[in-house]
Amino acid sequence: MAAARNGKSGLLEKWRIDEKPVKIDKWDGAAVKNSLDDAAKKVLLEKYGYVENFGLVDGRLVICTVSCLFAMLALVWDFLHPFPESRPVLACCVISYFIMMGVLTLYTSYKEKNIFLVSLQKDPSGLDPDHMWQLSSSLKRFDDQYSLRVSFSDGKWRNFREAEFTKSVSTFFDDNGTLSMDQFEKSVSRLHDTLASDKKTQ
Amino acid sequence: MLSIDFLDDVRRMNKRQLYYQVLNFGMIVSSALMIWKGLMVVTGSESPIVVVLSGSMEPAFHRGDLLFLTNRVEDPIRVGEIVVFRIEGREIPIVHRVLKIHEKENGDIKFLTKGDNNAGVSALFVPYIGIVTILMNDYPKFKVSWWTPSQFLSLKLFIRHHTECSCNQDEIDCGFPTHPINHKYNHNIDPLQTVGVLLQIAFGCCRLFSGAFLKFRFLSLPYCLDTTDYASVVANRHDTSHMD
Repeated sequence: MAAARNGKSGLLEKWRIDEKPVKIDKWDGAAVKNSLDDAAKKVLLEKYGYVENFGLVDGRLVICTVSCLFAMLALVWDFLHPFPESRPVLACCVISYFIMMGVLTLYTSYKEKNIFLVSLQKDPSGLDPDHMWQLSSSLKRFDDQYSLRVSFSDGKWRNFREAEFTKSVSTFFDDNGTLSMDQFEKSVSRLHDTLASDKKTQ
Repeated sequence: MLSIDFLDDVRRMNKRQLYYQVLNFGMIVSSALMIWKGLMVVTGSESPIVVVLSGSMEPAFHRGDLLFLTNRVEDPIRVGEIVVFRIEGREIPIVHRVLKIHEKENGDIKFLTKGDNNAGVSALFVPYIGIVTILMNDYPKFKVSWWTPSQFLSLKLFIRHHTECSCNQDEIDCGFPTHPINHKYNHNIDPLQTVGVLLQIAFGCCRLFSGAFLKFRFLSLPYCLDTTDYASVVANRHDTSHMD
């Protein structure tokens, strides 16, 4: 049993390539932003040991799933009861689908904004509620200025602080499109420590 | 090479991201589907957009044109209007113009239709079942010539010659000199290709308006070259081979 489990986790380890340096097409804006976001996530989660909270992402996934379910329902119903009889059901499904699309748009614009990571810093003593660290970033289309914003919410005293930096992506990527993790980690850690030290002084 | 990069991207994703990519794809398909069903509901017809395949309605409709159809119950069908209809048991609809309308006392209505471009007698009696009316809007007129079928498909599906007359034997005047034999008609609209065109348009629009989430390589639908000359096949009336 243990051997089988080890074997399986070994396979999973080989499948995940977390340790390989990240190489992307440097002209692809979306890939650049995604890789920087992933790297920032790694720094916060691995170096500082925070726990990721999936609430926001789950919300979006649920909305999308519900929309797809409406579409499936329309498809199946129309297949089982051919067109003229299925008209009211189809009308409902189509209208609900577009309402869900509207909800999704509102959700991504106003609730999620550009946040790609919500993480909790567990309190070691277990007495105080957790502190929340959020990461959000933006990279305009065809632009090279990447801004990363870290926000800190104190669990106990309900403070809210944030810090951000805006740098060109060329400082983190070399000519081939390989991300230099050291550089990026330094910047992110510096940002994080600014906030953390502010916390201590207050 | 390409597949290895693609797999790398996938391996870097966690479960949620993978699920989100799958969902994204599902949403594209669902959007196209919902637009199609929405059009069905609004226009009241089973197939609100169809592609014209043969040239039997030239110069009004040319091969490759998209037609928008509506089926309002309150609009009566009059002589001179263009209708799209499907015969029971046959999949592919036909677009022709109404020449005559016969109305019996018990409410049965029969239509005599004919394509504009056909030189000879190429008309058909159809009982009033599932007829769809075109709202004379061939707006927009897409002339896309790359989807015409291959030789095999065209022979098998789109060009069929029938020799039976579908009108009632009691019907004295059905307008054919050779009643009840030798009625021929053409199938000239293909719903499959319509769906193909719509999907292509949907993917094209998605690609235009969003760049970020498409980590997939979408397969493009196969293009077939036009190797069939419809006019010559249609005009070949003396061909007695029954193509099914």
